[in-house]
Amino acid sequence: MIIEVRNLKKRFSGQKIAAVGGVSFGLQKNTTLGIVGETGSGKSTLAKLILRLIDPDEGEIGFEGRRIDRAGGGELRRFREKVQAVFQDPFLSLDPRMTISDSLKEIFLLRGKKTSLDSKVENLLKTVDLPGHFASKYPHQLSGGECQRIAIARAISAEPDLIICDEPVSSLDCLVRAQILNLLLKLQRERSMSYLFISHDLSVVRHMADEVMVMKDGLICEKGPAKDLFLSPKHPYTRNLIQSFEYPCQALGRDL
Amino acid sequence: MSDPILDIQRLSVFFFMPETRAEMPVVRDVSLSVERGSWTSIVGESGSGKTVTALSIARLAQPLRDAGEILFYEKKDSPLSVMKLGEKELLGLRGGRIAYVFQDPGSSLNPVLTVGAQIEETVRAHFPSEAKAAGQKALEFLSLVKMSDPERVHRAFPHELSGGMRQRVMIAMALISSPSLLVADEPTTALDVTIEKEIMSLLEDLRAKKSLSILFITHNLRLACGFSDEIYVMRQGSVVEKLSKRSGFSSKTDYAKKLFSASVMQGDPKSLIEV
Repeated sequence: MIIEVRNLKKRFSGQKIAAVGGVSFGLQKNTTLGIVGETGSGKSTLAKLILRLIDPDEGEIGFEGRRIDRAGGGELRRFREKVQAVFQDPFLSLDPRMTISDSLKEIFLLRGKKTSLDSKVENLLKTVDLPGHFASKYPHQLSGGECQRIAIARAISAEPDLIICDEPVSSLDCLVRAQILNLLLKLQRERSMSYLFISHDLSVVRHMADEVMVMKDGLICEKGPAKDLFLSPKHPYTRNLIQSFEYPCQALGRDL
Repeated sequence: MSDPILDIQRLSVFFFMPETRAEMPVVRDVSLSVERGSWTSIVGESGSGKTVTALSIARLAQPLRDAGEILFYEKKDSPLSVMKLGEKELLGLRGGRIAYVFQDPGSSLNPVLTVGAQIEETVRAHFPSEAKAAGQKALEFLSLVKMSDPERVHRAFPHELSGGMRQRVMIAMALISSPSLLVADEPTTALDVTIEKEIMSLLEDLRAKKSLSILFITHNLRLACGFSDEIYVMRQGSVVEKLSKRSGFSSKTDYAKKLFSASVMQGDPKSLIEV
C-alpha cells in the first residue's frame, strides 16, 4: 500500500452534512485508483485532505506505512516531496509572471540544487513531449493542453511516488485529452508511480483506473476493480451514473 | 425533399490579430444546412471555428470582415438573407427567431436579479402587450423546462441554483420567443454526466414537441452521435466531413475517426489511446 486512509472525516463550518463523512480505502503501489462522483460528492475535498492542504476532523492517513495526518515540519515536507498534484485548470497552477523554465526550476532550487538546471528543464520538457524552446515562454503563450503538460512536468520533477490528479483533463477537448491521458499512462509505466485519479467523466476513469471508487454525499457507495464495477455495478447510484454515460452511445452506428 | 431552416453557403470569417497585425481566417468556406425540425451538430476541437460559425448565424461574431451567404428560412420558399440585414432587423432575429444557449449559465445570468425577474424581462421584451401576465408566463416556461418547483426557482437568485438548474433557466428564456432555431453552444460541457443526460433529453423533448430545429455545438463526438441527424466535423475553420445518422455516422476521413477514438476510448483500459 502506498496510501491507506481510515475513517477520514471533514465537515466545513456551517454545512449540514460532512464533505467527507468517514471514508476508508487503500491504494496499491504502481496502480491507479479512480474516484468518480458528481459535483459536491466530496472527491476534491478528499484530494485536499490527502495532500494535507486541509486538516481532517477525524481519521487516519497512512503513507508508505507512516501516519501523516498530524505530521508537521520536516516530516510533512518530506511527505509532500513524495506526493504531487495536477489540478483541473493548468493556467491557475502556473505563475503567470514566471517563464516555464523558472517554474520548472523551482523544485530543484528548493532542494538546493543549483547546477545544470537548464539541462534538467530541457529533459523535463522532452519527457512531456514539448520542444526545448518552450522554456522561455510564459503560461499565457501556451494552449490548455501544453500548460497541463507543464503542470505534469512540474509534478514529476519532484520524482513523486504518488500523483493526485484532480480532474486533470476536464477542461480539455477530446483530442488533447487523449494526448494527456496517454502521457500520464506512459509516465506511470516508466516511473512506477501511483495515481489517485479524480474525474466526473466515467469514460476517462474507466480507461485510466485499476480500481474505482464511487462517491456520493461524502461517502463511498461502491468500490471495486474497474472492470467489474463498470460491467456489473452493484449500487443503484453507480448504475444510474453509468447509464447516464452509456445513454448517448446506444445510438452509435456500427461502422465507427 | 430538402427543407432547410438554415442554409449557410461558403461562409468565411476573418478576425484581426493584434500580434501579427494581419487578418486571419477563422472560418473558411463553410457550407452547412440545418433541416427544419432536425438536430444538427457541429463537432470540432477548440479553435476549429465552430463557435464563430454559430455566432455568425445571428451576426454576433463581430469580425473584421466576413463573406458568404446565410439564408434563414423562417417560412419555406421565402429565405431571409441574414448577411444583408441591418441592426434593427437583426434585433428581431437574435433571441427572437434564433435563440442561443451558451456553455456557462453562471455568466449568462445577472447575479443581482432573481431568476423570475430576468425571465419576466425577456417576456416583456418579446411581448410588450403581455407585460401584466409576465409573472405567470415565467412560471409556465419554468415548468416547460421541467423545473420541479417553479415558484421557488422564480424567487431564487442564480447563485442559489445548481449548474443544471441554471442551464434550464437559460433554455426557458431562450424559448420564450418561440424561436424556430435554437443554437446550443456546448450547453452541457460544464455539467456532470447525469445532469448532461437530463439537459440533452430536455432539448430533444423540446425539439420534438415545439417543432424546434437545433444546431448543437460540441467537442464531444460521442454525445453528438447520440442525438443528431447530421454532424458536421470542423477543423481549422473548415468543414472536413459531414456524417449522417442514416449511414450510421460512418466516416471516411481519418480525422473524424481520430476524433471518435479520442472521445470514446474503446481500447483496453490503460492502453494508449489512438490519436
